[in-house]
Amino acid sequence: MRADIPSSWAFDDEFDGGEETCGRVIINLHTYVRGLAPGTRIVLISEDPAAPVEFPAWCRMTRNALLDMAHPYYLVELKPHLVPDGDKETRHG
Amino acid sequence: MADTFCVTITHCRTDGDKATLGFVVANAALGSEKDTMIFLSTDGVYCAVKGEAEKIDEGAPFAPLKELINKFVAAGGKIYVCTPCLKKRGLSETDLIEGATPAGGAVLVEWLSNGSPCVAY
Repeated sequence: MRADIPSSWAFDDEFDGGEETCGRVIINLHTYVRGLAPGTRIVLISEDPAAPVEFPAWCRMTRNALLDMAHPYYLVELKPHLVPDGDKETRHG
Repeated sequence: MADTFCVTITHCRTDGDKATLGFVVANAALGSEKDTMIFLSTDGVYCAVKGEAEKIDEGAPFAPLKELINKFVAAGGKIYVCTPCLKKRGLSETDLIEGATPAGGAVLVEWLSNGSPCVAY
């Protein structure tokens, strides 16, 4: 029984990598987020013990913003640099 | 010149000679002021499993593997251990020595993509 997603997080979608590890999580995640709009906030869920170092590395390489983490949950905003200025909303939480 | 370095080690039980050499080179890199990462995968994960490195001593002129690992960790070296390779062997993060971190491909790819050279044992 794992803890719940932090209640203060505002997000649009979830991706559950389950107990997969390493490259399998990354390729599944890549495939999942490929069609999502820049600015989408997604909670990544992964029981992989490497997730605390893997997701930050993936975010830095892909220019997705890691907003917060509380293993096994990771709050990511997709491609914030591609969001047109007029579409940016200020969200708190 | 790059200020980072990576040594990837794929042996421990299968070839103590290679595991030892990998840590010798990693210590040389650290001693040369390179920010050094060791990536352990396949059989190499045993280097970071409690009680395993103690079994490997190649003899003179090499120091015992455990001593090389202790020196590397004490000097601030990073040891990353492939998680699926652990899982395949029925091991988990709780089996790892102090200073070893479970990791996967993204960590290795980022390190090398940032310009780190890499040598494999």
